[in-house]
Amino acid sequence: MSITIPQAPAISRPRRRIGRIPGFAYGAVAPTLAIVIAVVGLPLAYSLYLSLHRTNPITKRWIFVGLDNYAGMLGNAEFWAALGRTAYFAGFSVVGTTVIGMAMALVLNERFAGRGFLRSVMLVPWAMAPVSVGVLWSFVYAGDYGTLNGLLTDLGLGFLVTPWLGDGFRALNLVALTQVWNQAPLTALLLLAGLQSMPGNLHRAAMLDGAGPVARFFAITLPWLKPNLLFIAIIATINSLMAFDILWIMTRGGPGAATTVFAWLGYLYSFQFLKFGEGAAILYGLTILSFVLAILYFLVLGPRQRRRAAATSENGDSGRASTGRRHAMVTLPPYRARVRLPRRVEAVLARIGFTIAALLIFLWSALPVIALVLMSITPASDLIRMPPTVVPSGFTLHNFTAVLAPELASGNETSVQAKRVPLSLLNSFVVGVVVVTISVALGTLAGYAFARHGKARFFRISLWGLLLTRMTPALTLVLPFFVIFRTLGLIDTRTGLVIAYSSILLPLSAWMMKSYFEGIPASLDRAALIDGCSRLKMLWKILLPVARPGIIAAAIFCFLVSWNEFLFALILTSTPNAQTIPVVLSGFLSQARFYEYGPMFAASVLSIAPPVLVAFLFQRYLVQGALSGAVKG
Amino acid sequence: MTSINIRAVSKSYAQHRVLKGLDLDIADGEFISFLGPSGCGKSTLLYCIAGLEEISTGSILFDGRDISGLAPRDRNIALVFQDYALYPHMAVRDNMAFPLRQQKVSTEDIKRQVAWAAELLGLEELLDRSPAELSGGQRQRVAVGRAIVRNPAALLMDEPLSNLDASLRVRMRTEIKRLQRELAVTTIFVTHDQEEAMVLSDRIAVMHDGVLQQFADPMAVYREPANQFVAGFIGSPQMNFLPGSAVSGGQDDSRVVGIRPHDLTPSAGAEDGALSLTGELALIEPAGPIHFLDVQIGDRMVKATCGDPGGLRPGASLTLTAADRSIHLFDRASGARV
Repeated sequence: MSITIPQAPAISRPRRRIGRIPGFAYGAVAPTLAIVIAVVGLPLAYSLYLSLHRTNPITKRWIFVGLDNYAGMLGNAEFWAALGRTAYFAGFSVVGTTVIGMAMALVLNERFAGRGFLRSVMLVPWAMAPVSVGVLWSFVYAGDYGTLNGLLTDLGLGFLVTPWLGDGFRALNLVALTQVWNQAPLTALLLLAGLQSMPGNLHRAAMLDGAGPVARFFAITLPWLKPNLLFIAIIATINSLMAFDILWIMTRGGPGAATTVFAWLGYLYSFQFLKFGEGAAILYGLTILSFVLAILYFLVLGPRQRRRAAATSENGDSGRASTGRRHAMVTLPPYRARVRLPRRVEAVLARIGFTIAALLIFLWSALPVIALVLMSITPASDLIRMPPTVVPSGFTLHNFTAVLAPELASGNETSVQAKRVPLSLLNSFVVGVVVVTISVALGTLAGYAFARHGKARFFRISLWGLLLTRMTPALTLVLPFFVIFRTLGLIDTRTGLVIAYSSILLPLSAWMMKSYFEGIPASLDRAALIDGCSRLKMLWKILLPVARPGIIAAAIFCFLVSWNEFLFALILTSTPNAQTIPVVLSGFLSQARFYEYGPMFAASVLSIAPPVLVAFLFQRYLVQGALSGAVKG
Repeated sequence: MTSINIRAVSKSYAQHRVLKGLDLDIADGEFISFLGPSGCGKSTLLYCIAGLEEISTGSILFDGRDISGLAPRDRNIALVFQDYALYPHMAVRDNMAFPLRQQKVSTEDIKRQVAWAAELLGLEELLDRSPAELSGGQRQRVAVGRAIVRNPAALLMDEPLSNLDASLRVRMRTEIKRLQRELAVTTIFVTHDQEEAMVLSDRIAVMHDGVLQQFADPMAVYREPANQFVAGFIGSPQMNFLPGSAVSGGQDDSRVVGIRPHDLTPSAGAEDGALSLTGELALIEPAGPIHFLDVQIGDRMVKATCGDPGGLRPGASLTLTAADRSIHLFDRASGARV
């Protein structure tokens, strides 16, 4: 019996030569580029235009003033003071996140029971929305009945009790520390990715060469991580320049102007003083600062200078000088093992030290979150006891009933703000799902084309453009968005938020997918094409299944960013119709009546539940995402 | 320079025993190969000697001193890794100086010693390059340089040639042998390539499933394999194994008869006292100086050789003969040589 192979149809038209970029590639990046130009390029141009004008919010008159706004900014003492504080804040957070992130990465790179769990725990502070982070820490540091003061009183250290955020310089340091708490896991994640790519034999070789753990860290690990560290330093700097949510919640630039950093100043001018022109100029200054850093980043991470080719061929280098030896072997001092503790003792000590380090990481990451959860299930009256204490008087789910099912809450004391929580959770979820679906679908298409044709000029330039948009502070975009959306009637709609979020998420997912596709050999594409697939079918049938982990990672990162986003949602919504959970959470702090701590913490816990769940369920994919160079703020 | 004694060394990962009570005595200055298929435990044993893996039971002695409790860096051992493990951020010079710096050797001595090693290996031109700028062969050379630069007690090599192309591999192994003779350093060379092991070693330790099969000089391993595993593993193409009954000469099925293809040739005529097999020629493979013949004997395929196949064509009937002295007999049950 024989199998009849159907005759292949005669090729009807000559195929284009190999090596030319197929039209498919242009088609794949077109939607992404078009959207990015529309939602990032145009607003940026509009913002630039705005910065050259002076506007009057009442008369709505625009006067062209040229570079006056910039000149005014440079002549403003407030500006220079803010710049100084920004530099201090950035320096503090970059050093802090790098040191702590490095320690976390080193510990979590070792194999031990519970590593996966600790990795997830470590990620929680970063997965939480900055707004929730701010809410948590501002209560920890709160003056009268804050957690820290309560703890001190309980420990009999009552004399140390103080309004922690009351002193200007201390407030700046504590906010920076909160930024470190929030951002260190990102650094750890990126360093972990670097550590995992390190060949294990390097350390073995150094061990045999006589280097101890400390010597190996400085001689092997640190140089290996150098490219990662430079990248991380720049990301951390940009993230600290753009830090806004935490400031908004914790100090609002105060006390006085002690925590008024550059970004806050821009916000003040634009949205408090409604001086759009001046505000745009300040925010443009911030953008330029970020771009400078972005270019630095590109130069560091971009294509390395070409290696010197191995000049001598394999055949030419085998002969050594046939004439007599010029160098003689040196009589080395006898090999002496340094006097140290016996190997067993050393191993036990190392184990104890490691356990302590792992425990510290656990406490640093989990303790504040546990405190938050505890506060959400203690009676609201516990939180405002005098003298303060952290020992709860009992447990109750009343706070959760108050925000989730207001009509069931006893006594009907639920505030207007608490009633907004259920809808805001829904809004966050709907916006997240829609924007993630769009971004990941388009980003995957574009990422594939970028990965395969990244060397061609068109793609190189547009990649460079995407990279820059990722460095654009959201604050710079939000002002033009606000003005444009008001004209288009998109304020207060979920559609508006989806559009605004795609300005962050589309470049992010395209970039992540590009990195992922680069790891998939192009021979797979060719095999599929030879086996008779069209390009679209090849992408759909062959590459998508292979790239699934990358797609999941991109979707998780995008969802986290969308769920946690605060600034766009704050500015672009004004009624509960489209408000997301971070906005409603922040509303608890600014409502007229005195703080409802109980429902606020319940809402906080609800707001961090999905990200924490993601950190635990998809920890593996998050490390994967870090490998493909994701940088979420 | 050091003698190494391995005494009843076992190693287990959880329930899995990787090394099963190995005993080996390696003399000072000897060149030893650990040879075996992948997964036989040869690399694990090497790592145990280096201290990168801890042994479960037994002991390892250097010059009669038990070093099993010492950390790798206290054993004065050098290891050339399969992937070389050159420090990517250091120039060749610094790679080679690194072990000396860890020993706090004086700068002047480091300079002279690196110059000596670089000259020995023909690396002088390359001292300022980074590993990424070197070809595979050059990297291999640097790895060897880094290993010998500090006069280690023993030089361990973990399949150091497997990443090189065929012709370079042959050249490098000659060079390694020359270098080892010159330095007289005790050397252990792990490989799965029997030819490498044969050419290089003073003695070969053939391993299988964590058990030492035979430890003898290369020609002894080839001529008098201790058991059927060694006989089948050493020699290429593989030795033919036939049940005793399939062969003329009064053997029964409690024996397995082994004949190397090189010893089995088409008969010129009837030879006295020789084993002979008749079958149908299936395939001729020319291999330069000789030709390999695949001959169907009953229901099995036997490989033989001949210098000149002459008018032989596949399908022809062929009688193969082998001299008595070239026949190996193994116990069918235990596989041991009889």
